[in-house]
Amino acid sequence: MMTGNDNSNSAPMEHLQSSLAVSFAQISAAGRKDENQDTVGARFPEGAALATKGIALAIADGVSSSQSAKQASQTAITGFLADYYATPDTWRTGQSANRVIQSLNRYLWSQSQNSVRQEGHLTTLSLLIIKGDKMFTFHIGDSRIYRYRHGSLEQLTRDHSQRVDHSTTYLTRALGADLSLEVDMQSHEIERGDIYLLSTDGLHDVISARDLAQHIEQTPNLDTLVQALHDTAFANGSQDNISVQAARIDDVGRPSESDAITVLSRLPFPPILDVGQSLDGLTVEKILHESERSQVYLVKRADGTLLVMKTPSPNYQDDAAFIERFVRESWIGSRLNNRQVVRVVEPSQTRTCLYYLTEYIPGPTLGELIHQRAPFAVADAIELAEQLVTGVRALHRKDTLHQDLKPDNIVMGRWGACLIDFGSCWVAGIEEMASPIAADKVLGTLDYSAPEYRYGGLTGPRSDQFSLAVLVYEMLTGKHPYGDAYGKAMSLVQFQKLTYRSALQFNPLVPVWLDRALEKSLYIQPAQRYEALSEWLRDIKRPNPNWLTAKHKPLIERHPERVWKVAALAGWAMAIAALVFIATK
Amino acid sequence: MNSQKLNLVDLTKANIRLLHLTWFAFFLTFVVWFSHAPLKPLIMEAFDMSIAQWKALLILNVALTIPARIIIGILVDKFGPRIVYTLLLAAGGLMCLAFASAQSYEQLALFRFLLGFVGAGFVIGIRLVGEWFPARNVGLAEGVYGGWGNFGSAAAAFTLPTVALMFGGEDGWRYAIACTGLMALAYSVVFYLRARNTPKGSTYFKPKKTGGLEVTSKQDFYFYLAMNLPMYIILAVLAWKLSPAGVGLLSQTMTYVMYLLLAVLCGYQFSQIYKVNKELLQGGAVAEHDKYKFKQVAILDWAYFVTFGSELAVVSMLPAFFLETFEGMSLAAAGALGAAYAFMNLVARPGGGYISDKFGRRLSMSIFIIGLTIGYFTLSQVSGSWPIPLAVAAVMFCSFFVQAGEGAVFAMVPLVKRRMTGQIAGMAGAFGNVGAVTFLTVYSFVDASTFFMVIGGSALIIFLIVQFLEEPAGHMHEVNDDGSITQIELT
Repeated sequence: MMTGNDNSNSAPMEHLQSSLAVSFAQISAAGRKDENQDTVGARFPEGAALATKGIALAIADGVSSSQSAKQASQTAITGFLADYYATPDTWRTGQSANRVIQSLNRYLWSQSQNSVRQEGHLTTLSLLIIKGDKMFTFHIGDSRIYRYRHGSLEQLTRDHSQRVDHSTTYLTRALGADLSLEVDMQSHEIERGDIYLLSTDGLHDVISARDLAQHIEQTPNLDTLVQALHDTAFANGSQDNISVQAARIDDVGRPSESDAITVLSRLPFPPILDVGQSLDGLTVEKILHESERSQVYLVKRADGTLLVMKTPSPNYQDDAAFIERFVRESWIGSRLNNRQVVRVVEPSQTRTCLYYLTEYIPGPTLGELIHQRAPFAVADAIELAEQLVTGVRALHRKDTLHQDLKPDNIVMGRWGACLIDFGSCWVAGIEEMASPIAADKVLGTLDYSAPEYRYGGLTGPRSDQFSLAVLVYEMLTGKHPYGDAYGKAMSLVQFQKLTYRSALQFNPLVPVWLDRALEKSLYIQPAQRYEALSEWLRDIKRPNPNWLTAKHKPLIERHPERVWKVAALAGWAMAIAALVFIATK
Repeated sequence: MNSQKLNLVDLTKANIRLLHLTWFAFFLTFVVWFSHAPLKPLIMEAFDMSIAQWKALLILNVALTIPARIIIGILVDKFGPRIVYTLLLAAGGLMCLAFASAQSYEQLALFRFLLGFVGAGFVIGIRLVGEWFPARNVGLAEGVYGGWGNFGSAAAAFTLPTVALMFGGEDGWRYAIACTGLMALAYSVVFYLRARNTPKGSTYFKPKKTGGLEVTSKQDFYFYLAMNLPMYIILAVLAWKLSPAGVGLLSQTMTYVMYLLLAVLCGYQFSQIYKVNKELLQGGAVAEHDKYKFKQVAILDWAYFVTFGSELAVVSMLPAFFLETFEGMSLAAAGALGAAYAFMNLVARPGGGYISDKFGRRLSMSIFIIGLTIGYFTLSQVSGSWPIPLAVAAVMFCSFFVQAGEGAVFAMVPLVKRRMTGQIAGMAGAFGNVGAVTFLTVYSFVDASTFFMVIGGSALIIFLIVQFLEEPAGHMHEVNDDGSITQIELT
């Protein structure tokens, strides 16, 4: 019985247009168990993805001791096969796969943590990616990857298990077991005629390596081979689920780009476009914005749809870090699906140059709106804030910080405020990974970016919270909460000298509790701000009972200089009066 | 290929306002830097100077610019263009005042030497303009900045003699020069108040690697080291010139200290270059797409050596040359005619870039250099018997090719290796100054006619060097009749 979770479970022979040609077969069965907790899957992409991403084979064995074993192994396989192909083309294979595995691990781990029935979502995972003239393995747990070459079989992976006594072995590594996960990675050149075998312990625990090799040698047809291996394992008394995948290299692909940049440097930068010119069937209608770093055009597709095209500035033609960030920008947008975040549109023709497209939102921008009609009514400002929080949280859920929330990066669309421009976004997991490219430290716009960016403190979701609060404050008052001095401060000491200017000072209609909520999210120290955006949103939407009445500060705290001036004046007046009094006496 | 439109009178645009603000700053640095040239006879008279001493002064004026460029580059990276330009203008203004009030030849020499720092202003503005203009028109904007700014030396030559005569008296020249200093001082305040490092809403990016150029092969590394030597050699020659063996401004011990200092500086720079290229030298591979030929940089350096180098040298001596060649010419008229040379900057420099973009780099560069060779040989023949208009025409002919050549060099700099544009431009600029010091040193030994001959001769050699220049490859885009873009790969 076959229960592979991928569509291609029943041994499809794949012959690909690229010179890389791989035959493939797989089988996954419950065996003597009630339920098949193994999952196998493979993806054979076509066209560009074959060159940039390659072919992926994946096998997972849900850890039997856990109740949600099947679910875990399915999540791992389907999650990997979907997300790996969605990673930016610029990333190297290792980086892409590792990043996806880490996020799956985190997801499974959190599933276990939140599980009501205390079920662990644990699974092994072994992956084989064949790309160009190389293959890459990624491995966690005790599933195995074998290579059969020139008549000898070699086990490429090392089992992550520890034998406690002769009958009990424990898995020492599994996906979903802990927050931090070490993935075994290898990469080798492939040769024509290589056969790769991925199996779970239900198979390789009962068939010796010698028998495996013999089977492979005797059975050239892969379909027959996997069936024969399954039957042998079952006959040998396997008590577990039995899964095996086999792939043969019929032809080696062209050397693939080991370096991310070579992939992209083949996509040239588009020239500077003028109105009326067209590129890949997109006609430039208007130049929306040009800067030293990029050009933004309004373009019309053949079907009449208006789109926005962003192209990198030729100034950065060979700046690897810049190109990487540019491509990442489009990728960040493409994996979000939220009304409050601008949608990235896939081009209908193949790109001949480096650019990306987004939907067109005519605007106005929040900046223009503030300019025209600040101060906003409190209800309007809160409504906009809510929409912005929705957008920002969509980013945060993808482990991404926007880092450059400012009025010009927010456009009013059909669904209200919409975030545009991911040029400064920070994505967890990319930056921490070793990259041959040194990325610039990107800072947002001074007036809106949180102080920790400038004094070098730890940044996080609370930094975006700060920027959001500056925006709301500006909508309500047309001013900056810390005044002009904020843009000049560079060190922690300078920041700490700044004092929050109550929004009531500029707009008496702002309720006290709203002002307090803004003040809290605008603290210089990130730790003093709200833990989560949801809490902040709650506090700005309805009064926090603790803050219902204005905390009446003594006069000397509200206007110290006035108090002292009056005191000094009074002193002088008394002194003069005394003098006059003495003189007249 | 694409229309480079720039509406220079549209002052509602922040970047146009900044461009005007910046080119004028550069313009003033040039006025201050060359304020002495048209006043030669007055200054010589006031201090009872010998010709040799005057010529030494001319060299001193351009000497410090060579190392100053590097220092300014570092300062701009660290503090941003706005503050650095402000300080440079203010410092230039103060030194100009000091020069105007100098009481001895030694003081005069010292302040001229320090004023060499002002000559390094070019880099600051290039960075600033680059931040403010999109790729569509940054080339033109920088052309306007460079061309109109360089015009400052012409403005100085044109006006200062008249101003000096207006003040009259034996101290007239002092007031004239002091005026330029005061203007620079006042403008530094204006600049500080009005200029901003970046357009509102964007961030000033600091470059990652500084200190040296990255090269992509071992041969290129040694080539690059060798190309740095001329700067130190020429400064050493200058030190020798100032030693008791020459004008005697420095004592023998001071001269040795100078040599030592130069050796240390050279060592330091080499170590910086090594640091940047360490990975390569230890066998690190350079990706194919990242390779470039240092040869290209070297050729551009030499081309700038003869173009900008000769311009600085000639601008320093031309007003006096007219005065001495044509009898009975007034000081103001000599200044005005001398200005004819730098006058060409307004059109020739941007024009050179345009021609080079349009008609192939090597060909245009070769033509410009041949043109200036002919120009300088012609100038070497100018004598008192020539009609003055003809002499002026010869000067303008020559300067057209010189400045078109400068434009062509800077049009090509970004194409060598875009990522390192700033550093390559910096190195070319330094070679321009090396050229100036070299030619002025030559001038200190010979008369004007031979001086022009020498420039013409070196231009011939550089013409040969330019033949090794390779057309930059890359992608070219072509616009079809229907407005769609196709790209052609150049190999």
